[in-house]
Amino acid sequence: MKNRIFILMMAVLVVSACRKEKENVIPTPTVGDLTINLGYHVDGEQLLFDSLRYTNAAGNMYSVTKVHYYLSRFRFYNRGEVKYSSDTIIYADAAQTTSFTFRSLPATIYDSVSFYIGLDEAQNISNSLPATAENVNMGWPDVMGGGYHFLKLEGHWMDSTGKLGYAMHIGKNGFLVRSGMKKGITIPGGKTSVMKLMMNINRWFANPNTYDLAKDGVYSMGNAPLMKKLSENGEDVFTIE
Amino acid sequence: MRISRKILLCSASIVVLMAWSTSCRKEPASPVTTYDSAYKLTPYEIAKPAHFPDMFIPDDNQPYVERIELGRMLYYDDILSNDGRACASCHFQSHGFTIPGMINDMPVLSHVNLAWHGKFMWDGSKTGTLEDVMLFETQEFFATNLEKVNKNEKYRKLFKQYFGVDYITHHEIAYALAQFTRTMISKDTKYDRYMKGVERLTYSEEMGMRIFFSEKGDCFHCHTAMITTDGQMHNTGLDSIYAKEADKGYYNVTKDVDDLGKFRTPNLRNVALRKFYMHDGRFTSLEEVVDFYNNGVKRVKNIDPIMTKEGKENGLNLNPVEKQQLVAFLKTLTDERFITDTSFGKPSY
Repeated sequence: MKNRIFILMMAVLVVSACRKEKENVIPTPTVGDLTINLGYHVDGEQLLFDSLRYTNAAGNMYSVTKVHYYLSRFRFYNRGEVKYSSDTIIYADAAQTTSFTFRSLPATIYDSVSFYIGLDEAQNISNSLPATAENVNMGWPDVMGGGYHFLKLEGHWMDSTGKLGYAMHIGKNGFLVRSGMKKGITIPGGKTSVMKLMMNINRWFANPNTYDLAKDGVYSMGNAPLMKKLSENGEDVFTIE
Repeated sequence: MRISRKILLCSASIVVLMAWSTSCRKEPASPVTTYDSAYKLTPYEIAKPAHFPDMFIPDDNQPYVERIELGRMLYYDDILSNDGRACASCHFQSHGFTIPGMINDMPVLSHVNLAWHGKFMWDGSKTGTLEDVMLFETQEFFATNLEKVNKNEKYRKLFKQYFGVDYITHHEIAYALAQFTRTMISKDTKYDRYMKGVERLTYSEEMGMRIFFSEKGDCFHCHTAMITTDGQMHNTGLDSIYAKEADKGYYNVTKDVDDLGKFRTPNLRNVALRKFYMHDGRFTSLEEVVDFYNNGVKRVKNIDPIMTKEGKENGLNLNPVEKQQLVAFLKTLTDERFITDTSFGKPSY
């Protein structure tokens, strides 16, 4: 009799120990993750920093020394309807590898994606981002309107007199870059998909506005017409690979 | 039969208990390192000033009151060197932890808010954490004689208590110095108080701040708000010919010609207390520095792109009043509390 009670107790223990595993059995996963890797090129040539080797649409020969920017408000669509949205803000430095993952996207096929280069009005508030060294360095002074730089694209270029610098900075509400592209993205359930988002630096200087460093100027910060040009050009700087 | 039944029961219970214990076992807690269980260290929380970047503190050198105090003792003790020098010999608190002179033809960079630096020295030749740079200081710069330190009764006892070591090495000395220097934070300048809304700037100071933080002066791209340095290397057009080795700056570290003449953006806190400016101390007043940025900038090939705005290729073109206003703002970066705080001063024992 004693033995039977003992066996019964043991059986209860086993059942209680195993119950969790049984409860955790998930049927078919309905969501998946998406990892986005950022990359950079100049009309197909991999970006090489500090090298006067690139030519933009206006014919300016230029180099790149810095590309710092924010991405925000990612939206994934199916037939015009937002199926997944994220308000995560991504800071990127083209000199570093940047990769980020969106979790639990509904497992489906998306036909397009949109995001901002920069921060919209609700997010572009001085000192509102975590005080990392990067965010502090991206600050847009309060006396100039506050918030953050959306983009810092800097380098050198050759004019008729020699090597000069340029600093294409965008910030301030009203100059947000709205980027979007049609692309079939399949998110299978229970898996992590990978997508590569490539920035073509030359696109900042072209379409719809051909930006000529010799004529338009080398310094955009605080210059509304120049920031507008760049902001419009920025809409198609990214493509999905 | 009876025996085999017992064996069966016993085996079953072992299997069952193993299954139960495996399924229910919690991950063991992370081991807690105590250097000297006999001595209880007092944790210290370093208060980060508002809008400063997050401070990196290595897991193995979290701040403790006792270790900070030990670091302070070492900072002021010439036992670190073999020629009578201590850290404090070249870093006077009254001058914002620099000196009113130069060493090897270079002004001494101030010890202020070092915890936020990743690059150290004018030419950025030392990188890493405060622990890394303090290791360089004790091991190479001072070449601290460890025998001398280990023969010192006070330090032997304190390092045993606070770091749990019987023999003091450069590692523990560096860690103690890092503990102290990490607390040397300037956060109470007039500018800080203005930003908190508790003090007004004068008209001249405020106009100077507007110049500093706008395209008119464009100081803020390198001297970022609050922290006053981006910690990066820049060529600001100081020289067109790099006559001395020291003038080459970051090039001496990377050997990349694009890095010629680049220097680390200095912290501007207590800048008005300094007697020499730039990497070679060529200017001796803030007015001279502003004059340089106003009309003395050289258009060198690798000048920072920020310095090449149209019409300002050789300087800011400020008028005399604007220059005075800029200097007035720079003087609001003096932190009286920092230069008189007794917790940063020489220990009295």
